[in-house]
Amino acid sequence: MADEAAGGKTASGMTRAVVSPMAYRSEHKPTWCPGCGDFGVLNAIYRAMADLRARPENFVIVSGIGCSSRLPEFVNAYGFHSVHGRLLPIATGIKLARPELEVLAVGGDGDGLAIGGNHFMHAARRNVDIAYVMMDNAVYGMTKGQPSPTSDMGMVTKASPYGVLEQPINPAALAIAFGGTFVARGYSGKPRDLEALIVSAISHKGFAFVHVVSPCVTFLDAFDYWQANTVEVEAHDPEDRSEAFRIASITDKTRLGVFYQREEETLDEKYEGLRDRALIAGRLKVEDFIREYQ
Amino acid sequence: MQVNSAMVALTGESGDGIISLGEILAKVLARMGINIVTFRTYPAEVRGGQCIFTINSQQDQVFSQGDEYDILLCMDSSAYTLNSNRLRSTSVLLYNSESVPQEQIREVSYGIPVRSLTASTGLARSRNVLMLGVISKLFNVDMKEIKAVLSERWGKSQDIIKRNLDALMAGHDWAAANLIKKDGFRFESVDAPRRIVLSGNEAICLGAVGAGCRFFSGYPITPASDLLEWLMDRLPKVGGVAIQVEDEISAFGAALGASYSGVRSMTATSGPGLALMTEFVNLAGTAEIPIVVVDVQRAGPSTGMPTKTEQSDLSHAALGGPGEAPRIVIAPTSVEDCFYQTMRAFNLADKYQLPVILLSDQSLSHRLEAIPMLDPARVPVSSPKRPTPEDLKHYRRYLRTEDGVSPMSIPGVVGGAYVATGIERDEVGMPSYDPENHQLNMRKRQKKLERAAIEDAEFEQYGVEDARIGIISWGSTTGAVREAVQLAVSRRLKVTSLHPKLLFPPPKQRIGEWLSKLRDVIVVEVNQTGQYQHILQAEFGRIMDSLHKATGLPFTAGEILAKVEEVAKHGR
Repeated sequence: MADEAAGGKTASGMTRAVVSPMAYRSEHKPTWCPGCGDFGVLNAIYRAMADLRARPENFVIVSGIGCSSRLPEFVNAYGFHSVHGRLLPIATGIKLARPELEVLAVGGDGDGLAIGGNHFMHAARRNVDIAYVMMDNAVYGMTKGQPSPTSDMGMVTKASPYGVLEQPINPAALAIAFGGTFVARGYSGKPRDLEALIVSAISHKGFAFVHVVSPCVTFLDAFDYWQANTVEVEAHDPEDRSEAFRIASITDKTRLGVFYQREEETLDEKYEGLRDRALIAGRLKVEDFIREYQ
Repeated sequence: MQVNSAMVALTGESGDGIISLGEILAKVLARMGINIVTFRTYPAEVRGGQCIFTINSQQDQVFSQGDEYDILLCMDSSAYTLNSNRLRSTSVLLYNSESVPQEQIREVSYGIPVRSLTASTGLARSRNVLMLGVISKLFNVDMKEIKAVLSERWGKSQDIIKRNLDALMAGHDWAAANLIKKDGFRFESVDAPRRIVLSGNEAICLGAVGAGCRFFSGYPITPASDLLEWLMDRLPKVGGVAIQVEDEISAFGAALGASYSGVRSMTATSGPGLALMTEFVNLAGTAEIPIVVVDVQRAGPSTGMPTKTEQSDLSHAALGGPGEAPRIVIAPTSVEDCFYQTMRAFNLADKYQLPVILLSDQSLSHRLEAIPMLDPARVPVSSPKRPTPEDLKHYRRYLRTEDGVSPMSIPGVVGGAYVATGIERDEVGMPSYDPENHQLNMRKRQKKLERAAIEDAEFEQYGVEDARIGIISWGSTTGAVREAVQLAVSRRLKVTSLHPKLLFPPPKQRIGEWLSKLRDVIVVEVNQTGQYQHILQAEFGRIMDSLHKATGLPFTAGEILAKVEEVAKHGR
């Protein structure tokens, strides 16, 4: 399987030959409900990997827990399907330990904004060079329909019989506020646009966040709403953080596209620099440290 | 005259420089060829509250932090009130004569007017080093070595080193002019092979580097923050990565990610942090990814007493977690052992592809010992089990092998891609809820512990062969037990002690053989509920006696000896 996707290797670790998105499908068939928005995201990821000629052996997909977090099992690449909300610490560790690897984190809104919310803030502010695709269906699907951090106020579910009392979170606006250097929003109903956003996110040097509206057909079927209420983002300066925040926050017609993009030194690059300085006098050994205690 | 054998206690307010004074004096004595074990206890706050730094110095070997004080320094009256009950009739007291009321003092003593002395020379901030000058003069501590250690400690700043050398001389000269020797303690340099002086925390860091650990992630917590600080500085110098992250969950996650990528990785914390990591411990166990977790235990529960010691995370380390996944728990017994057990921890984690939790504690973390030069070659770094080209033709990450360990691929290996997961899976790594598959995998993972209990049962043993009374203890308590056994044997009591390094799984055969010859067994540990006692009783089906305490302080040899004598007299 891996060999089908691999062609002539280039310096950047990508292949030159044209590869089919099919090459990135694993033998494991998705377990999602028919019509789930996450199929659109998975297909966009296959296509993006093909566009980038990604080598499966150098590509790691990390996830937490939830319907969308099953995604690594459906892709022909290295994967880490971890515990609830902890995808970003694992992805950070992989990238810092092996900066040459391409690291993609995927998960849902509950995973990334509720139980894992703390890690979102810190992964973004570190500007670690990973891409993070959050599939937002505004509901806990795997546990059968409880409200999530992005559910609308007033939403009635079995776990919110009197309606949700809290304000919903805007994940893209948060990512901009946290210091993410690439922030975009896509929609699973527009897979070609989403493919392009994922390609840009993976290609971006730094913490790249793609908020994907990915409706749940079973517990909160909102396809018709999103079909009618999403529009392309208007032209603006992508390096203007305030403007990006404003656009990401518009609610009458939800904007899709790249809100913010700015090149800044990444954590892994900074660490490389730090290490070069630390190694200036040559690489030390444990014996050198032991001698400090004479 | 008592030469080179004295229990020295330095006491005063936090902020008096007691810890620095103790560290310097300990290092100087060690360089004079004298054996030392130190202990420190201090408040959690940065300023205020009483500090005690003790140095148990002996011409011969010394294994514990000692008990009653021979030489007591009190920087103020509170220090005197708190500590004077631990003096014996032969002890000597050095005290701040401007703070401690002299009418209270009964002991052989020397009053030092600290404020006047430091005010006249403008050395208030170096009052600890001034006292070192007095100590040097009174007890013949080598001035040349003191100056060398001061220079190494503060050599980067000419101002600070000058101020401290001035303070040292001021104390020394004042003592020479004003004090007449009337006590019986004295230090003399002896010929001894050059040793190193370091703490348990430092030895763990060195062990990690020696074992090839090249990734560390951590979050500050007393008393484990030293590891974070040390490794943040040193790991880049060996080409590794160290990072401070947002919490202990992230610390474990980042280290696990790095280890998944093929880099030897570690995190370090204390009890509250281990509690946060617990879900991850069992992910590592079931996903079969090696990782080393250091838990420098402190007095709980919850926040408890963060700067005091306890051995109370054992049950949690051994058994805590969602469901049943394998992990190994080991405990080093001394500063030297911190180095070698940490090196071993990495080999064990790699060998069995699981988390290894290393249990140290506050008393060991900050204990200084003078030990022989460490030799990393004593624990050769092992190689992980990676897939062969044959394995990669149809790679099965979770292949159920004879020994329970499957070849682990890492990113970059063509044909080795798999999904590491906490969800139950088949041999390839794809989710499976098949009943028989789950049972086979549970069995496979458990098999590793059965092997570890036989193959990796390292231990220390002391006392006599034909003993009827046995003491079993673990971790930092070992030194005090060892001294208690020596004392008991010198009183013709037939006593033995066993100190397994592998706490969980319990090394069944090794401990079983030892137990079979004994009439009475005492389990000694610093906690309230007898956690190791319960593990052992469950494993060996035998009721054991327990000596436990939860005061925040380590055991003394005297406390253990008293228990042994009681058992010897009355039976259990």
